[in-house]
Amino acid sequence: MYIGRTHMLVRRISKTIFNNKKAESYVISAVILAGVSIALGFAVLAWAQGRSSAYTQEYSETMNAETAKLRERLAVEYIVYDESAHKIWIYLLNWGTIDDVEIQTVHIRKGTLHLTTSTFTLSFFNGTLIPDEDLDIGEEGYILISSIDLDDGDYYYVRIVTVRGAVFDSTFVA
Amino acid sequence: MIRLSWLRRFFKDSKGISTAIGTVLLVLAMFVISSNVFLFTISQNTLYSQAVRESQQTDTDRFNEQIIASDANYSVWGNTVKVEATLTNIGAVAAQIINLWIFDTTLQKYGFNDTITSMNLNLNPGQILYLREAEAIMVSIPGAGSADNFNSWFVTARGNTVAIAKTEEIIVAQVAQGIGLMALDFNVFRYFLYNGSNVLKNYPAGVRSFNVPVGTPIAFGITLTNLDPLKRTIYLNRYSQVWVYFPKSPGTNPVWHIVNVASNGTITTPYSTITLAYRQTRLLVFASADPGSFSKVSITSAVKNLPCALNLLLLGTVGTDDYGQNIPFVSLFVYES
Repeated sequence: MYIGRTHMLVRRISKTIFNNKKAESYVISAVILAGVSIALGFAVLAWAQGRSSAYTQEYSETMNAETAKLRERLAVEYIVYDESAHKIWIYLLNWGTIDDVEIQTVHIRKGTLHLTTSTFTLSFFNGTLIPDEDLDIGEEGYILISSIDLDDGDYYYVRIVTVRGAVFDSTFVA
Repeated sequence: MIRLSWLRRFFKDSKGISTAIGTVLLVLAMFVISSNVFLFTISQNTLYSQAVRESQQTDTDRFNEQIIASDANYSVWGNTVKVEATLTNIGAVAAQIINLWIFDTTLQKYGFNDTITSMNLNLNPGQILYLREAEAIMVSIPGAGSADNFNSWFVTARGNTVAIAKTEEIIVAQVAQGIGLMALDFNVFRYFLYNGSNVLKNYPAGVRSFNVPVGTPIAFGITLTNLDPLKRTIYLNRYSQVWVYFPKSPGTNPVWHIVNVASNGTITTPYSTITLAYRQTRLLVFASADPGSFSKVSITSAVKNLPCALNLLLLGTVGTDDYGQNIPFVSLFVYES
């Protein structure tokens, strides 16, 4: 009894669909439109996902760099200028909480005089060169700048800029 | 009734279904992506804020670190400057000393000792460290002299520098001028027994007492500091000695001449001149009955259970001038062992 009723319902629906050409075109167009919408939706999703990934990666790198910069600390223990040798020794201590503090440039300033150099050597206090050219946590080392001409007895400002962009200032008398 | 008819019409009319699906998907996509970006940004900002807080705490700790370095005393041994000082942590945070710098203002040369980390110069808030004698810090400055002037400063692990305040030199000089050129340390007076024919027993600690045995060979250990106001080096010759005087037995005056002693307590002969640079503190041993050589001295039993006065007789040169000084030093009681 139940099977007979179901069979009749199926026949009626099939008849309605296949005899009604107008309804067929509606279904196809609806399927196509839905498909296109879904495809477009996924395309937009993928594009937006890609853009957001790039943004998050860039943002993450920026934040990591800023955080690393914040953790950098250099203390100047002593600065010596040898007038006869035209050399300057800057003794440093990394007292921050991050390794690999690499020095990019050293600025020496007095009034309008402004010397900038990236040509120097970084050594341990015992005189041996630091192989990785950076200071790890708690490490001490000195920068030796050669061929520099300063006025004996004058007061100078020193600015040390690291690769991460941190800035450390000190002063000395040549 | 109105709602029912609207829903029925919505489900019957399939024309707008694609737009609806597309909109829903788009909104969903935007929501998911923006949520992800928002949450990520929040987490990154949190990390950054934490780093900023840590950085500020680091700076605060550095500002709160307060060490006082006082009672500086410099003495020169060859090319090495020996620095004695007292460190007091008056700050609110613990501190670690990692380096000592010295600038010789006379020579215009500098030196440092960055190996002092191994000495564990760590100070809790309120703690005081005395860097004296064996704990004194050595810094190499080639060519430094005992008469040179020095400035020095410690460096802490947080990068702070702590200048060492020098002892009021004029007071020390006045005291030295009042009693001569040598400062005497009564607190570390000691005598030695022998552990063989020429080896001092328990050297350099000896026996810290003012009661000495009768009839047993003994030697005396006396710590002196050169405080010559003219900052000259003192050279002690072989006639430098200690001698004792018994008020109840005036004829008994044994003497102990100065000797050289190796680090293991062995007395070496012949005697070679002992020098004391300006501000140098040194333990001198007086052991021999004869000047320049070595023969043991013991106190005769005739003076047992008697007190006596020990005097210090010093001879030699100070700088290029002759030097001679006799100083009443300590009192002893001779007991029968």
